[in-house]
Amino acid sequence: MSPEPSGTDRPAVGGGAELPLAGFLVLDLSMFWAGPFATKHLADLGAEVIKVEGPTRIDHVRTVSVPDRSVAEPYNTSRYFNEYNRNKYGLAIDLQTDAGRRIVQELAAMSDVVVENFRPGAIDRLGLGYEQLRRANPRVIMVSLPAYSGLEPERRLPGYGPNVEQMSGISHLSGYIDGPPQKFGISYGDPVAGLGGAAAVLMALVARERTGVGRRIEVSQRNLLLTFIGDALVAHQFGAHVERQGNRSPVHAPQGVYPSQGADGTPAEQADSWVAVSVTTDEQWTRLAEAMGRPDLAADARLLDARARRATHDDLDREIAAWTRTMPAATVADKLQTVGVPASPVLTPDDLRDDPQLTARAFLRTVDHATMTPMKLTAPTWHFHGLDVELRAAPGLGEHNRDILRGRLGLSDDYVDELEAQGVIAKEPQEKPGRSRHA
Amino acid sequence: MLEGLVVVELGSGVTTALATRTMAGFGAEVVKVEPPEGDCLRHVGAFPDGRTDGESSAAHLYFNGGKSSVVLDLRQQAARSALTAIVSAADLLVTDRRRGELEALGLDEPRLAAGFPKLSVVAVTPYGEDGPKADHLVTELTTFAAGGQLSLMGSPDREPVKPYGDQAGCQAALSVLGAAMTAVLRQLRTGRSSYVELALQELQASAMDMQGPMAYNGDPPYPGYGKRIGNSTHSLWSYYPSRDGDVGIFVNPTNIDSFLAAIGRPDLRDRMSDKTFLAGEMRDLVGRWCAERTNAEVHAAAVEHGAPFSYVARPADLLADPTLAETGIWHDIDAPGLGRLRVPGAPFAGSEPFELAPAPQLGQHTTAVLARYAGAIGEDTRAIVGGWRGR
Repeated sequence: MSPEPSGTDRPAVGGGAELPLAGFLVLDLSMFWAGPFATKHLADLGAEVIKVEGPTRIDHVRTVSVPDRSVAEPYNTSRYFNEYNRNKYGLAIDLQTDAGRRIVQELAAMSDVVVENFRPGAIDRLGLGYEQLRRANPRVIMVSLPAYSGLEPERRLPGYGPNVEQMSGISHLSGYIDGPPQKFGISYGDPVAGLGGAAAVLMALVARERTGVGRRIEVSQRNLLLTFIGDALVAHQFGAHVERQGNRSPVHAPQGVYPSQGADGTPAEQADSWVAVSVTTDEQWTRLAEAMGRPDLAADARLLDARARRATHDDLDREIAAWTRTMPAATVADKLQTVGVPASPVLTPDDLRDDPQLTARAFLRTVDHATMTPMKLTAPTWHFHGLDVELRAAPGLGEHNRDILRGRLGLSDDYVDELEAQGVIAKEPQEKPGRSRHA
Repeated sequence: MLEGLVVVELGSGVTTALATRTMAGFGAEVVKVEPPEGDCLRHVGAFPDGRTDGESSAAHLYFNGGKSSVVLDLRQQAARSALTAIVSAADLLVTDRRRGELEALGLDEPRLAAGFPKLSVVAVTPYGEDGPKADHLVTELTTFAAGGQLSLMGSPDREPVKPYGDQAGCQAALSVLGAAMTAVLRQLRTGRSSYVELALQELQASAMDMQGPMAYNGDPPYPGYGKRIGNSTHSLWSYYPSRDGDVGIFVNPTNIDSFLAAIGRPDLRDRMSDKTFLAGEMRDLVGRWCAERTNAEVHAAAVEHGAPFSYVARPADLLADPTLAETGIWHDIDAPGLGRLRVPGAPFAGSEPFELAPAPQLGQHTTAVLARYAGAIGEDTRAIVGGWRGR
C-alpha cells in the first residue's frame, strides 16, 4: 500500500466540484457533537470528509435519538447522528489492530485536514500525532478539540459541555437574578467548539494557501467559551460587579420573558408558552403601553426613561405579564412588531419545525435514507449565494469501507476481503452499545 | 495568519465585532465604521465608577480591540462615497446591516458584484434576508428566543432564562469567521469572490443538540429533554452546592469507576444500575460529599482520579488560574486612563502570534483611513464625519 500524492486535484469520492471546499480531504476522527459539528460545515461546503469509527468504537451518538430500536440497523438511524454527520463518508476500522492503524495513518498522511477530539495524548499513542503526520505530510492541518487544554493538570480531566460551561465562567454569569448559576439547556460547549473548530480549519487552510505549510491548532472548549465573556472580565478588573441579570438588559427596560397562552388556547398557567419582549427606547415604551391598552402607563411621568423603568421593573413585569397571558405568544409578538417593539415567541424545538420564517427559507430539507423513510435535515447555514448544496444522509457504519480503501489507498478487493474477514473493518458494531443520552 | 487581508466591519453588535476582532488578532487590518455617536458597544458598558463615556465601556474595550475606527455620518452622500471607496480597497466586508440598508448605501449584492468583483461579503442578519420576519426588530433576548436555545434553559417551574450577554451573537461570530475564511480561501484558489448570508435564527436552530433533530422529524422527546430541566437531569448529571460555591458532577457510563474513586466509594459499583438508589441515596451522598468540600478540593479530586467534576468559576478564579495563564489565553492591553487590563486573546491556540492593539478611540483613525482610501483630507472630511468632533 502506498498513499497517493497529496493535493487538491484528485477526484473525490463525491462532493460538488463547484463548492468552495471541493477537492479537500478531511479525516474526521472525532465523535459526539463538537468535532462532527465542525466537519459537518466542511462537508456541506464540498470537502470530502471521511468519518472514522471502529467495529467496537462507534460514535456514541448513533445510540441516541433512534426512532425505532427494533429495526435491523438501529445504529444507522439516529436523528442526532444523521444531522451532524450528513454528507460524510463512513469508514469503520479497528484502530486497535496494526493493519487498522496503518491504514488510518496512510489516510491521514494524504489528508489536507485531520480533526480529532480524543483525550490529550491518545492521538499520539495511535501513531496519529501531529508531529508524526507532519513528517509524512508537511501540509497537513490537524485540529484538536479537547474540553480543556493539553496542559497539566487539566489534561487529565474528562469534560462534557456542562463541565466546560462552569469552568469557563459563563455559568457564574448566567441565571435568574435571585437564583444560582445556571446550566445551559444544550451542551453549549460542543456547538461552540464545533464552530470554532471549523473556523480554525478554514483559517489554517487560508494560511496554508499562502505559505504552503500546515499547522496544528488546539480548540479548547474552555478557552473558546472564555472569549464569549471577555467584556465581563474587563468589567471585573475595573471594579464593576457583574451579576446575573436574568432576562433583563443592563441598559434598557423593560425586558423580559412573559407567559402566554398556548397556540391552541391553553391557558398560560398550563401552557408553558412564553414570549420575549424588549423595550429599547422611550418611544417603544409608549407603544408597548398603548398596545397593552394601558395609556396610563404610557403617560406616567415616573416611567419616561429607562433608568426609572429599571427601578420599578418588577412592577412592570407584572403588568406586562397580565397582558401577554391573555393571548398566544405569536399574537403578542405580532402585535408588538406591528407597532415597532422587539418581540419574539420563545420557540421550542417543535415550534422551530413549524416556524413560518424557517419554513419560508427552507430551513428543513427532506433527504432520503437507505433504511428509513425520508428524514428532515437542517439546510447548510452558511449561504453562499449562487451555490447549491445537496444533502445526503449520514453514512451507515462502515458504508464506504471498500470505496475508501480501494479508491483512496488502491487496496485490492482480495485484501479488503481479508480485512473484513479478520474484523479489521466492519459494517456493524461488534458489540451492541449501551444507551446513554449524554454526548 | 491573515497579514495583508483588509476587512471592513460595517456592524453594530457583538457578532461582527467578535468575528473581526479575531481576524485582527491574527493579522488582518480591520477598519470599523462607526456613526458619529459611536458603535453601540461603546454605550452598553459596563463602565468604571464615575465614567460613562464610550471609551471606557467594557464591551467596546474587549470586542473592538485591534481595529481602526473611522467615523462616517452615512446620512451624508459624501460619507457614503467615502465608505464605497474604503470598501473598494478591501478584501472582505463584514456587515450586520439589513438588505434594505445596504441598498440605501449602494452596497447591495448586485452593485458590489458589479463594482468590486474581488470583494467578498459576509452579511449576517437576525432572520436572513428574506421571509416574513426578515424586517423584525430584535434584541439579544428576542434573537435568542427565536433560535430555540432559550426554550431549553432555566428551571422547569419558571420562565426560560437567557445566558450572559449576547450568546446568539457570540455563536454567530464563529460562523461569520468560518464563512469569511471560506470566502477568502475560495478567492485565493479560484479568484472568485463570494456573498455569504447568515441568519442568527438558523445558526441557533441548527445547534439544538439532539432535541432539534428529533423534533424536526416529529419524534417525541426523551422524557425530560424536550423542555427546561434546570441544573439537574439526575443525580450524576447535576450541579451541587459546595462549601464555597457550586460544583458540577457530570458522569457518563464510561466515568463510573473514576467517579466512585474520586468520592471514595468504589464499594458502590454494584449499585450503579439501581435507579432507586441513584435517584435517592446517591443524590444525598453526592450532595453531602460536595457540600463538605471547597471548589478547589472537588477539582483536586477530579484531577487525581480523572473524574468529570468541575466548579463554577468566577472572574477572579479565571484571572488567577495558573493553567489558564499557561495556555496563553490572556492578552494584556493598556487601556487609556484605565491601566493594564487582561482579556482573552486567541479563540484557538497554535504557533501563530495573536496581537491586538487596544480598542480605538472613536474616530481615532478617521483622518488616516480617509486619506488612504478615499483621498479625502481637511475640509473634505467635514461632511463625512457629521457631528463627530474628534481628534
